[in-house]
Amino acid sequence: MIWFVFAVVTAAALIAVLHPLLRSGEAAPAAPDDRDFYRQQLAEIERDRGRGLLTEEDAETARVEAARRLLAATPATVANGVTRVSGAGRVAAALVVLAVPLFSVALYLRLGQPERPDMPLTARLSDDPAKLDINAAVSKVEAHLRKNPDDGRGYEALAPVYMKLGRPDDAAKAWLEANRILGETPDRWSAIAEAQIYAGNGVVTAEARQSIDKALAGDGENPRALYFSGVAAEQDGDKAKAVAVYEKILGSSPKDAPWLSVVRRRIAALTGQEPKAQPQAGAPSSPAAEALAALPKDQQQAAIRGMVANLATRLSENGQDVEGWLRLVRAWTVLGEGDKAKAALGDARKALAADSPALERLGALARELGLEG
Amino acid sequence: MIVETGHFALVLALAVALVQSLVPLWGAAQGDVALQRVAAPAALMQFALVTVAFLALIWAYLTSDFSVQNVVENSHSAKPLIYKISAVWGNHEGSMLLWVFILALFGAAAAVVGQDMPLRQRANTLAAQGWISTAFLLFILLTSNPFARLDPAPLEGRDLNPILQDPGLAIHPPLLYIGYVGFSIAFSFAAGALLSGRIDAAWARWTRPWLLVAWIFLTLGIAMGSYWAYYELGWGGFWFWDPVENASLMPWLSGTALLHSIIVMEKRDALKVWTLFLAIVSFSLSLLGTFLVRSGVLTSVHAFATDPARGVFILGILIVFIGGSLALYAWRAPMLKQGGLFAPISREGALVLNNLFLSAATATVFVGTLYPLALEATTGEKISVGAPFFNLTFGPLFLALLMIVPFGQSLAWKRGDLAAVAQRLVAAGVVALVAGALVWAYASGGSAVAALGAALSVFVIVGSFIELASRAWRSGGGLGLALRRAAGLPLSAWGTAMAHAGLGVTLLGLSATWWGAEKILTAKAGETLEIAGYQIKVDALTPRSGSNYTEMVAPMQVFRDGVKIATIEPSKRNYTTRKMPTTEAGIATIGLGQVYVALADESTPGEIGMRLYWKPLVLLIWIGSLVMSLGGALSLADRRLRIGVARRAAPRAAVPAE
Repeated sequence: MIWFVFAVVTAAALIAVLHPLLRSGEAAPAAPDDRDFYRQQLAEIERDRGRGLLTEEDAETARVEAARRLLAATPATVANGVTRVSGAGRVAAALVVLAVPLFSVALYLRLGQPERPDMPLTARLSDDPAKLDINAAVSKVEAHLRKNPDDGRGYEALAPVYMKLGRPDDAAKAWLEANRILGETPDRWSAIAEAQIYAGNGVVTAEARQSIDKALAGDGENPRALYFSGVAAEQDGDKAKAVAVYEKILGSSPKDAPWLSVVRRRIAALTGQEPKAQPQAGAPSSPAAEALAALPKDQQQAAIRGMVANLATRLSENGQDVEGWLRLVRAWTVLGEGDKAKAALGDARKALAADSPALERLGALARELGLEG
Repeated sequence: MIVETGHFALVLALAVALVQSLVPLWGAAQGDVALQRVAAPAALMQFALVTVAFLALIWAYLTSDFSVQNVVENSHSAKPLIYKISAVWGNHEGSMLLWVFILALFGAAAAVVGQDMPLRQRANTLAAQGWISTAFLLFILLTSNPFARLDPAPLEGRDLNPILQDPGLAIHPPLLYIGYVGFSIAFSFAAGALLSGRIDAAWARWTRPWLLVAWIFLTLGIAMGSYWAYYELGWGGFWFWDPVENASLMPWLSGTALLHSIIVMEKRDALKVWTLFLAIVSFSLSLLGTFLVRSGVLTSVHAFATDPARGVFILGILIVFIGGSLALYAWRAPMLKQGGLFAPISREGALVLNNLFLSAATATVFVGTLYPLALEATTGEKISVGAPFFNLTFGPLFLALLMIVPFGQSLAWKRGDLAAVAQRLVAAGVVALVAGALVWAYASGGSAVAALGAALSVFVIVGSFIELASRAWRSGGGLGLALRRAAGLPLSAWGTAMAHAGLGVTLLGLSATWWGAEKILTAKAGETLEIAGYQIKVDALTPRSGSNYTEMVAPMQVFRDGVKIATIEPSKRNYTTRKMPTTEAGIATIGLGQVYVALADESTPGEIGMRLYWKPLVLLIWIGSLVMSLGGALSLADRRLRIGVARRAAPRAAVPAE
């Protein structure tokens, strides 16, 4: 279809451009020449004199000058009459007919993408939802919310999707909007806290603490809010308080609650009763990791990737961090992204080229993970 | 499909431009009429194809087609309609497409209007226009393709530079481009004349209307850009001798010279070779302007993108066109038939003087703009050439030029009588002196420059109309007859008077800056500030947020003698997505003057730095440009042919002594 359009356009262009060559044998219109110009000028001098714009005397001077130029002007060199297309004309026409389409198509094929349709935004967004990819669906909901900013349910639905996509900042904002429109609930506050912690790479920020407090103010036994207040206490170094909080969760949760094992593991880690529960060597061991573990399985993966990506960005801005690079290379390997791990290793060696102990450690890690050889 | 059709149309336009560049030339060389006739339809077809491409890109913007990279980089689905359209040329690729679109428009118009030109000359001229199109279409397709696609297509665009989100963007570039590109026609006519080896008064007659169109639009474009900078950039100034501004001023100066020399050529068949040279220079300076702006040599709001490949390409175009046309000029110009000689004291003599001054002025701007760049390129040393340099070099040249404007206008063709002219201009001189004295008194011991400037501008304004008046009064008669005669005077005479008066009006506005007032201070909410007799009460100092920015606003009321005249809201904005601060000046227009407030940063909480200005008569600067353009339009509307009318030098001499 598109090639048909191109063909029509090209043909139209050729016909338009070459029609002087196709009209062979017709009477050519009279070619104007310079003398016409001076004849018009003379006529105009007369007109001006008649209207009183030129005095008799001025008009005479002007007339003399124009007449002199008229005599000097060359007559048209082209004889008026019937045009015949010369041999040169035929050659030129043939060349143009061949060269224009060939040139255009060849250049267009190098530059253009004939098979790609237009993609107007409205059409893309009104596509069958089943065919929409997740990003398009998000955009559609976002557009809807721009027009209906008071649709609290829309925000409520969008927030967890943001979490899945690794956009915790947006998730927190969406839940805040839902809170504003539908009224605050402890559950949403605890979700906001989770998003904020995720956004802070596992650190319970001051913002997150406020969210936790609001959740607990509404429901003192909200398990998610309690859990994160425990993590906050741990990060403050207040182990006793953390353990107390975790105990409280155990006490108030149903016996089959899915988060019990995580909470028990935290208590064990803090009280040192079950060292076996320590995470494996190499994996990051911190409250953040535990916070991650509290997430549902499908969110965990996205969250981990988000954190690793954050780390990569940070290192690309400031590469003088051996520990960071080691973590990054290891993390990509654990995630099964061998290529990215190798790329990160390369970047690290470039960034730390002047630091030979660091290079040794990188080499050791590469051997350990089997990234080289 | 629309996008790809636009893309293909652009490629095809290049092919057609190549045909337009080569076939008519060959025809002219072979003396083949049919081949020479190909030029006009090729120019029309090229225009049609570029139009299709341009509309296709606009379509992509309107539908937020984010599969087109250019749309992603410069648009956003939530942007208002007008900015979606103006964003088409608010970026490098799109603005080059606009450039070529206007170029093709001019070519097509020349093909249609030029039907009464001799065939050979028309073929050569349109072929020259074809070369320019070819060069720029190649540039677009190879280095700055607006139809490049992205895969996968993102769902949202990156929005437009906030400074450019302004109605100014919808108008400023098209105006300026019509001006720049309009000179291409003068260039093509010159190249055509050199190729044909013939140049005469008829040539001037065909070229002049195009030149006028270009000049009118360039004048408007420069004025518009300056006003935009004045209210949007918040520096309190309107002209900064920035290289980008100079880039537009240089073609304007040489174009103005060309406009005057071509009149001499049309009326007196003289100054031919010089006129051709000016035509080449004017377009070369337009190209230079494009190079400076587009190559990334300069970093400014105009340098949308910096890419060495583009810079090298445009530099190549520049070398080929300027070098090529000057070589052609050196080769063919000596073969042209020279025009007549003329007396120094005459209208044409005055126009030569005008050309000398304008050329010198162009040269000073050229040196002031390029010398720092050349120095930085060769030695790495950075110097800044700014207002002091231009005030010392360009200023006196231009003031001297303005002094002679009323004289030149009143001199007769061929043989002028300077004494008689001086006599007639006495009236203007007297009015001017009075005006100067008044300003001196009003500004009470203020700058002498202000008084001189005001006197000179009044001299130019009054002097511009003296010629009309003297022609209307010529042979006595009552006021009624004089008015009727004035109305009957050719439009071009009115056009000349208007354009020159506009110059005076602008100069008056510029002189008034010397008796304005400026204060730099910090203020708190509730404070009342004082400038040049106006009281400005700062009502509050509050943060506020808009759709895509946050700002610090200081609403103020302007009082004069206790009476409230206006409210203004200067603010300091921060565009969050692009992390760009902008200053929104608060401007209250009072008569022709303005109170102008620009905020600085908040120094200590609750206290903000600001600059206060009282700018008397400032609007005259731009009103003058409008008057100048109007003069150009009047002259353009005059379809008459011209011939220089010599006035007998001294009718008295003919009267025998008694």
